[in-house]
Amino acid sequence: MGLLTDTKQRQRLVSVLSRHHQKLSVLLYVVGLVWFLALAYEPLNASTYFSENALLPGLVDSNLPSEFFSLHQYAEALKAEMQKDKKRVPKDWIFRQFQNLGLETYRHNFTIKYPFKMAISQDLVGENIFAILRARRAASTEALVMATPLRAASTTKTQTDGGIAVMLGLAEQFRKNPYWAKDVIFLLSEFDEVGVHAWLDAYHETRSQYVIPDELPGRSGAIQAAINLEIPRDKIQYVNIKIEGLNGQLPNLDLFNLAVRLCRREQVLVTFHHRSDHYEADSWDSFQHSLVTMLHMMWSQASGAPSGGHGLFHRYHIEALTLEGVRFKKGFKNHPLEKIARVTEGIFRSLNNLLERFHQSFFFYLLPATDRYVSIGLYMPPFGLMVAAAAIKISFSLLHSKLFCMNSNEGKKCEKISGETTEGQHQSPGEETDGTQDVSLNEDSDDEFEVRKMTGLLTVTPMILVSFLLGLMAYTAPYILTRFTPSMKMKPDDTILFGILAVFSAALSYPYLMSRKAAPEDQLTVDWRLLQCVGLFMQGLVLMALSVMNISLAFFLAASSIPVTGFIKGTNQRVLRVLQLFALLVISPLGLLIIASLVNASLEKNFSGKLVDLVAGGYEHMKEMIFLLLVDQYLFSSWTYTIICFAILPTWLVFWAVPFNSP
Amino acid sequence: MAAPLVYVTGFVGTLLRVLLFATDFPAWIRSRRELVTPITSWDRVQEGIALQKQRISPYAGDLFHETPLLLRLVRSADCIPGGSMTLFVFVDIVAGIILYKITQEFTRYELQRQAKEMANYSPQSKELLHTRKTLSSISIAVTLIHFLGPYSLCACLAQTTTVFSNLAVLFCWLFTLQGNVELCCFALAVATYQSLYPVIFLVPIAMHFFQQIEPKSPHFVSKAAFRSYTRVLLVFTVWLASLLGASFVLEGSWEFLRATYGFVLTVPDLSPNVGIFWYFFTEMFEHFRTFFICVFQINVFIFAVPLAIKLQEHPLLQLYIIMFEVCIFKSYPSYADTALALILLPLWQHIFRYMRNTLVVSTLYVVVGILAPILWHLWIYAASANANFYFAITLVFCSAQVFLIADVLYAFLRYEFDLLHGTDHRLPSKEKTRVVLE
Repeated sequence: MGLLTDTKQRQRLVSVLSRHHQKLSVLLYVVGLVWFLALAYEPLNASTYFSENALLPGLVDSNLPSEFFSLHQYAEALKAEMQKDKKRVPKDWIFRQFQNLGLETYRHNFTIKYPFKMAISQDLVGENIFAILRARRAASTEALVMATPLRAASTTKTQTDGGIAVMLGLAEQFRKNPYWAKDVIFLLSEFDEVGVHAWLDAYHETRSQYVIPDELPGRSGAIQAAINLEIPRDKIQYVNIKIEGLNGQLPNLDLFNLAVRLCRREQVLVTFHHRSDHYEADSWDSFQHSLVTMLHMMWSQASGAPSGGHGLFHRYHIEALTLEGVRFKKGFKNHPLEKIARVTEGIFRSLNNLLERFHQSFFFYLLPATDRYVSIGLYMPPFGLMVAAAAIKISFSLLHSKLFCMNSNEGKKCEKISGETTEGQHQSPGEETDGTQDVSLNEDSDDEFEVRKMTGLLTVTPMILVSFLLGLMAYTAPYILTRFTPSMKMKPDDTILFGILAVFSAALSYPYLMSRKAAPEDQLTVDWRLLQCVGLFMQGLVLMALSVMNISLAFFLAASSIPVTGFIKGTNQRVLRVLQLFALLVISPLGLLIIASLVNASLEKNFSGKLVDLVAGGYEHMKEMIFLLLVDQYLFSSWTYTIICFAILPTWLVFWAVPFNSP
Repeated sequence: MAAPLVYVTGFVGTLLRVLLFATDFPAWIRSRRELVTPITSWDRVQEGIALQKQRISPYAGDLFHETPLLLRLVRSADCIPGGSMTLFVFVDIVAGIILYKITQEFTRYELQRQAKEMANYSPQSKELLHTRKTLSSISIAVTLIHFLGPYSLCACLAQTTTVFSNLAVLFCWLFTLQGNVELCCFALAVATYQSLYPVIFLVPIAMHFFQQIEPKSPHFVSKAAFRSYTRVLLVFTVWLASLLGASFVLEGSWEFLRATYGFVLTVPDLSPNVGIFWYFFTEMFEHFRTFFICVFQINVFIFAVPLAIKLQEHPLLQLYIIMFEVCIFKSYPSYADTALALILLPLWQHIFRYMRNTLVVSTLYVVVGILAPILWHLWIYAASANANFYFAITLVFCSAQVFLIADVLYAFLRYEFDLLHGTDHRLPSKEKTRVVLE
């Protein structure tokens, strides 16, 4: 306890820190940010490996015939069926094929209640088809799922008829073999993710409000893993692997490795976010390439929306990913469907070897390439540094705030917490000879130590309460607003966009409402330093809590907001105030949404590079994004919108009030 | 008298409880590991009631670990619809009233003691002395924390049976302050009967009563002292024995002893909670188990010895610290125990100015409150995290509490020093200096 008890040393340290804390804060932020991004550099991350030895990837001999005729027959027949009616999926035909193979085949109906009443007044009815191949060597206690969405020929998304043909072909081959230790469920879902969601809900007998599944007619055991196929019929240029699930959850890294390894074995070009690995290791070019890949992944994870049908399996603790076949436009090397079938067979044979659930390897990781990974142990320290930049600000801001300086006559005092990280090392204030330390040091809105002299914290309490109330308003607004729209004849996505804009601009004016009451009497003017500290404290909590759930979201949030929130201050100067308010607006939840939609618009394949297109595309994207956020929330119980309303928005509103106070 | 504010707080708190009982928040909170232990879980109590209705001994299986008398009390309340909720709200209201009385008695006690010891104090320490005004804020703070504090609020909503033993402990405080040996021992016996660990409170309480008998420089190791201790011990034993006897008569067998106290002492259920036992013993090889169980349990009780020596002049602080320390190190702790410890914290508000870690500790409490459910979700539902994540957060919780209680002890010693030597510390050369506790 040398440092803690030697008061002179400590005082010196404190005064040095307090003099330079602003620089230190900047330094920490920059180091954290650079370090985080540098993790994509090959020497700083690690190469993937198999942690679960039971998988034995690629060690079994393929049992598929060397010329897989039936696969092509299925593909041709399906093509013919789909051409008959381009808007419908030949569900009956598919059902019959599975039945003819001798599998237990079922239909599963479900109803979607549309959360925003006016768009489609009637409930949608969907139908999944699934077939169960019973394992000969086990009593249906465990199962694997092979899924593919049912999409009509006229779909704008990737066509999936190739996937269906692969399923049929593999089902035919699988049932001939005696080695299956786990049931294989072939699931064909209607309405993409919604169908999967309904089926999983029915399978696990859970309920949700808007998707109402019928009871399942047949069922198998606990699902160990799922592979979702989005494979077109022909001209497959490469296979893209999609992993990001609901709320930013990721599948076990071993499953991803398995898919990559087996694609490589069959010489199928495999990519991650449509980006193959850089051929040259350890160079500036390759670093840039990996960084962009990693940022793509983080961008997709941060949204909290599932990137494919696999994303909903994660909710039920089922490891899942999507193999997406990407067609090329002009002549290129062509992977026949047969190869995809071999990859899929390999994956299922490996999964069949599993002795226990996936539990080894990593669940928290970032991928800069298909064969490199950044684990939680690597990315947390730089992230911690970024958050610590704000934490340092708290400790020294409190020092200057009136709370502490009330009647101190000599000697600086400080309470420092160096960490929103859990181990808060602390620098204690020391045994002051004058004993003037204030009683109410408590920072939290908890009333654990609320004793007396609460003047400091009490003044900011209304602001915090109001900001949470506004968060609640933003949360309930879409639901309430869409009840009124039928009479206003507006499209639901427009209603929601404008409604949220209205709520947001109402929220913006709250400091005025607060200050008018506060103005005449001196005692209610808020100590902006304290307010900022409370804000930073809330921000730290939010970031920390998010970082364990969805590191990408936490990272983007920290990277964008800490430079602003840490350095705003109360001011009388008009220019400075306006500048600060503008900076705050940019990092407001809505500002970030706009930036995100602009980025999404510029990422689009057919983006022309013109500013007009960017703005127009950005607007469309924003509308769609907000709408999808809400739909995901209602249908799949995604958390992103809830987090925005109850964590990000209130925190930001606290900061929003800071520049309104005079120093 | 700051009575109006106290009444308002009490009313708001009660209203809040009643309103929240109507939502589905209690159902969620009842499944929280941080609040509900295998002993105090309301679901298990209901199982016990159901078993008893079937005329099966609730202690026959490995499900129910509450005491027989409490089971009967709750069962009779549960007969009426909504009766159990009313019971819990009622218990909280009674606890609030008791707390108010405790603060009144404490004020009286502190002023008395101060008047008696004034002669020893340094003339320069005037600003440290109690006045009626400084003491009057205690009652507001205490009731505020009790009625609106998140821990006690959640403990009530989750219907953990800890609130009953907490109530008994509060009664014990009240009667200790009033100097009523018989009732105090009864309350202590009930608390012990409920959760066993309060038995260690006997040490400070016996010392307190001896101090009351012989106010003038009591000698704690003397014949008179032992006579006094024996009396307290005897009264306590009689009460406890009669409680156990009554249980035996009602239950018809001693089976409940194994299911309740045996369960507390041998820690067979290692489902996670905010304590330190579960993780350690899941990792343990079976043949070391007995040894480490003994070590961990002795750890709970052993602190009474050094505290009794160091704080013999201040049995109430001693009682508080032991109470806090039991709530950290007991085998099945929960937020409900923390609630009790935090409610009484404002009693020591005169030493708060010497505390050093308040910001760290309060931050840690908040962090744990937010992160624990998230990490639990990641471990159990999402299965992407594992037990270590949750254990880490329980360790943080323990450290926060240990920091806090160590800080209280330190601050008190420092306060006493200043009382005796004045707040203006100077070297013989008239130079200003500072006091360091090594």
